[in-house]
Amino acid sequence: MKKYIPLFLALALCMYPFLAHDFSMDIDATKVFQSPNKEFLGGADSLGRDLLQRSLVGGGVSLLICFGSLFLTYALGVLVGSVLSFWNKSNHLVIFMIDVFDSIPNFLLVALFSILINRGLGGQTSVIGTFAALVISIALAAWAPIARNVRLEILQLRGRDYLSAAIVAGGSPFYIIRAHYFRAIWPWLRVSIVHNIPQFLLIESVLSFTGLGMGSQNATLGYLIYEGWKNALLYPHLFMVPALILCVLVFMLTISIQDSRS
Amino acid sequence: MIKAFFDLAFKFILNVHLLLFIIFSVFYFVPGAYIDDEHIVEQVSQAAPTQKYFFFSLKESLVDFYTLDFGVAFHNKNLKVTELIWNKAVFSFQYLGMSVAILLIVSILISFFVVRSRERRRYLSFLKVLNQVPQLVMIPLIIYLFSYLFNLVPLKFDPYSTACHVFVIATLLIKPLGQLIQLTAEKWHKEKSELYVQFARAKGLGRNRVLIVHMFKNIASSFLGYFLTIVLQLLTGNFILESLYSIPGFGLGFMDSVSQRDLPVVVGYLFLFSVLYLTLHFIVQTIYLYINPRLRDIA
Repeated sequence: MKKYIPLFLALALCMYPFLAHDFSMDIDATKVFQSPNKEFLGGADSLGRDLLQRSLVGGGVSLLICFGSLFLTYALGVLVGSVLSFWNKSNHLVIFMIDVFDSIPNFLLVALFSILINRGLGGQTSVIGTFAALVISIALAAWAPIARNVRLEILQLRGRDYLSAAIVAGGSPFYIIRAHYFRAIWPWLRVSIVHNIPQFLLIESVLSFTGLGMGSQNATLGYLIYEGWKNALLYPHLFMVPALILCVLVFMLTISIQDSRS
Repeated sequence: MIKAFFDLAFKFILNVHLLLFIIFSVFYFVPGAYIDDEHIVEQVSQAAPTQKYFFFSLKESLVDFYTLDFGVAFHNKNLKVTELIWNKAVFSFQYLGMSVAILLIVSILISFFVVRSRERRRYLSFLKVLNQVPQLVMIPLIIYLFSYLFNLVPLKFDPYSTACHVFVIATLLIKPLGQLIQLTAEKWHKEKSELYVQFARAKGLGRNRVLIVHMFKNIASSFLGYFLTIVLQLLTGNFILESLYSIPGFGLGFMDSVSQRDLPVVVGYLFLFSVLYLTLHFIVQTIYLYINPRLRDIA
């Protein structure tokens, strides 16, 4: 249980944007570009906003996108994979499609889908619209390997005695899926989900760094690093604080997935 | 072997077609929908052909599809997107190609020395920590340290300075090299417990001979697998490095086109990166066929 503490902390940080979004956007002209001090632990940015607060809010938004896309990706992957495993004729065509999706780099697919869903590069103006577009585009780009693995896991279970016994005993399909199939793939699913959290966080950060993210009003960590770099020569804290938060988040999440025995 | 190779080639061609289909569907199904700036709308109405929808003129679309014609850039109607991208890509390929070659050779050499070293555990734990730092953090930090703080290299990229080129290649390589060395060294170390290694050592063969002649052949396929993923990281790193260090290559071009909302250029760049990756994937799969006889038999 102890090793999941960082994961719970990350979940708690997801709530932070709802609590502190307005507070982190307070503009103060007298405190522009202030270095880290007692009042502002992370310094202030070009509009006098508290950079640490902004970075934490940005981290929260990044994690929200990351968890949202994880949920959608796995829902899609498990659904497609389980349907494929029960449909024998699917083998050639669909597996080929999955292979193709797998062979195109994730980041590029996400960028393409985000353009397509956003109807261009600046189409959506509402926050929820942009958020949903990002989440859906990441999910559409990343579902393929999960579907393939789920299909393989379920195919391995076929013809097991206890499954036949459950069917003969009159177990309902819902009961068999919940009690046997889902329980059998859950260990793999859990490990895979936890392993993918830092990956998704990094994909989101690079996307927002390139300008395909949430924009300046709901800046995520990648965008903050890019913005901070513009004045990094004189005020290095502008990019270092969000970079530090990103580093800590990735480090924290990676520690929680590492096997303590290795 | 030949049948398997043709299988791979067929898959590669289909992949490129699917990619082209996705890209051109972006291009044709959302024309003009992304523009909210009146100035750009005016420019586009002059620059872009009026009826370029997929369903309305399939013939034109197919010609564009196979000639890779992404049209003209929104912000400069005299500039063809394909030419613009090609000019920038040639610049980036100079040091990207060099980086890939260095990555291939140096990673094998260093991982060999790491495996042989008595301080192996210490090196590997250092690499593990280094590899946790994301590229998005590492690249700005390195540029800040060497260029801004210590003034060892110019503040912005100078194409005539050798130091700049060396710095760019080194910055690009630090993270991928660390990862590749860690993975290869760990794989090499795991392979040591295999029976054939113990048998070769028991016969009296030298440590280096067993490492290079016997074990390297077996870890080569894993190494190639890692290599492909890590070259992809090199491309992502290239985006970040070029945009931060003002290198006039395709990474900076992509960032600029995104910020200017120049859709044809963005789509063109995405196509270039994807084809680059697919080509690399194809080359690596072909080498796999050559290395691993089991794959040939299955195919």
